[in-house]
Amino acid sequence: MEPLVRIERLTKHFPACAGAWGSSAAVHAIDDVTLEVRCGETLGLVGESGSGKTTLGRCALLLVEPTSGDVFFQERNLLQLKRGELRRMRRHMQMIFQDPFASLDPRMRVAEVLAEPFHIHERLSRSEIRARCRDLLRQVGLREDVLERYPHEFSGGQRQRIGIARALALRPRFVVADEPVSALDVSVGAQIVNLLQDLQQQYNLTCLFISHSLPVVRHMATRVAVMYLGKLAEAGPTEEVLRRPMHPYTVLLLASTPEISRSGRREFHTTPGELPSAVRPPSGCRFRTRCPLARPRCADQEPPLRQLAPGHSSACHFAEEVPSCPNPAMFPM
Amino acid sequence: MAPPLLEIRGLTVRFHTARGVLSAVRDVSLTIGKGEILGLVGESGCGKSVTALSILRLLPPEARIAAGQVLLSENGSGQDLAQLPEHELRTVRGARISMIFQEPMTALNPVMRVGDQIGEALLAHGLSNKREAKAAALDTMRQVAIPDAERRIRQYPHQLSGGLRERVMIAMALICRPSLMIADEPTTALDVTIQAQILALLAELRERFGLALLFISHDLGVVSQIADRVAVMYAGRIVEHGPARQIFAAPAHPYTGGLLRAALALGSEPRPRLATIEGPVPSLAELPPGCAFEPRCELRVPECSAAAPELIEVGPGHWARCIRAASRNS
Repeated sequence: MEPLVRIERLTKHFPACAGAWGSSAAVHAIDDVTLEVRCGETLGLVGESGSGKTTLGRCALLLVEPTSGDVFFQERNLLQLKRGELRRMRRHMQMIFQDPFASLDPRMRVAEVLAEPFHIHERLSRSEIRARCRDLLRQVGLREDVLERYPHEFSGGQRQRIGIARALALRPRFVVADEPVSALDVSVGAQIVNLLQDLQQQYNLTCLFISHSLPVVRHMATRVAVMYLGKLAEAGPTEEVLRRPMHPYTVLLLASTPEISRSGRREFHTTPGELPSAVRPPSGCRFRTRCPLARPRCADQEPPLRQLAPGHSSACHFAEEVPSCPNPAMFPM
Repeated sequence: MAPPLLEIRGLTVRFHTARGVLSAVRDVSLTIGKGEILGLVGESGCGKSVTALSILRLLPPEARIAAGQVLLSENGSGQDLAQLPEHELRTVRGARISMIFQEPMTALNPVMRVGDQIGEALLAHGLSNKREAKAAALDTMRQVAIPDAERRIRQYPHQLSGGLRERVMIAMALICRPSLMIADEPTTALDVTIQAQILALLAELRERFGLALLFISHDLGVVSQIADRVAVMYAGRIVEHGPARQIFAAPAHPYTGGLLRAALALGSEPRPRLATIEGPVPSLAELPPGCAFEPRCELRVPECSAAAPELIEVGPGHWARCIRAASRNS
């Protein structure tokens, strides 16, 4: 399967405030990340705050310009396109945002929100646009009467549906979904997850699904990449990575994810320590300050991402020692 | 038998808004025993936060406690916090019952050093002088596992990470040795690995100090890890309550069942589609006449819309507000 999107050695540094560490200080949001998203697949991108996952999602659509590295869409380097060409490309790559309250213009009626993509990229008559908007609403499970209303009149779940309708208006090939259900209640989030799955199948969408929640990613994605402090820690088929993780950080994530415990409370699996600074990340392996397997080599040498099983790679010098089965609830047998 | 530490009886809270009077909390009754952790779960708008704020009467001006009692019983004597004069209630807040909130950055004073904020609770309740308060603050910071406490004590909130700020907030709520801590979504804004640390800390504090905890959350997984008993709220009412293990293993109310099925878990088999609860959460202004959950309920029968159901005992200490609950429990 051809990769639809290829991210190569992507680096993004944001300038930090001048003064504290000198004006050359930067926040290392992403460092040298290489990923590909194959046609028709949903790649999950998992990490906590500071992992760089949201920045990566934005770089993939060139909403944010990388400091270095390349982004290929259908084998065309987006960074080498002229402005007009890039703009025309954008109809094929869209984003669904996390915050349903911030991602819709409060002064635009739903009809205008959904019509905007058509105004920018196509030449359709008003009645044609209207028809397409009605169609979109139906696909996301909203009634036609929402067209004349404003975003503030809707609940979080409904706004997210509007955001999804907007993203799909031009039938893009690639969608980046940035934490689409994190801000929603459980029952509403479940509806949106089902909707996204249906739409993905219906339109054969390629999707980069960003989330901090392993359970949601497990449901949506066939492959998953785990990020920590701007670097890729592990990547591979979802079930593989979750059942046989090969990076200590993935193990920690799995163990920390609260399981609905039916057999009484479990003990808490924790590792002391917090996320180190993104302005001065630890030398060598960035996870070493919290890692139970850390050794001197981890500080001296940055672990390369290496393949340990078919399609399954990990950036850990001691990946072979990473215990499997960290979350007892995963294995009912 | 000794009365429970906290008993809420028939609490009703109404908001007087421009669009009329809304009952955010309707006839809610709860108990929390000494050293017990009660999880209060529900989705947005169900009334769980309003219930919590009512205990210490921290409600906004447009809200009134329309009915009910909030009975705090310690050392044999009981008081109804809902009726207590303000100056007496102030001796309870922060000292006998304390509270921690969801957004540590909003709850902490940005222009005050964290050590001073932690010690402030002791000083406000006249429990020590400045020097002792500082020593106690340092002590409490160590008890909540804030590393490098001697240095951190002089720092400002913006210099700390989310997890550390949460620990500061817990320290503030702990320093007067309250019997009950109310935690309103304390880990929702935190990363999952930090959340695990905070939950472990709260469980440890319960063990060490016999601290009772009212743990409010929409996250069923988190609640199942820490709570002894659970109460589920929907549209301002308690719809189910009982031992945590029971509730999660065999929920009796269809809403609880729906929530559990919709919640994604790592341990379950991968499902092609998530079971969802159809329809939206009802607006408090437009509640149906009978059971509030009836329009979305798969088990509904004509009797459900006739009258609002009462709580029925479906197992030892396990109650559900559903006329079909008892028959389901086989």
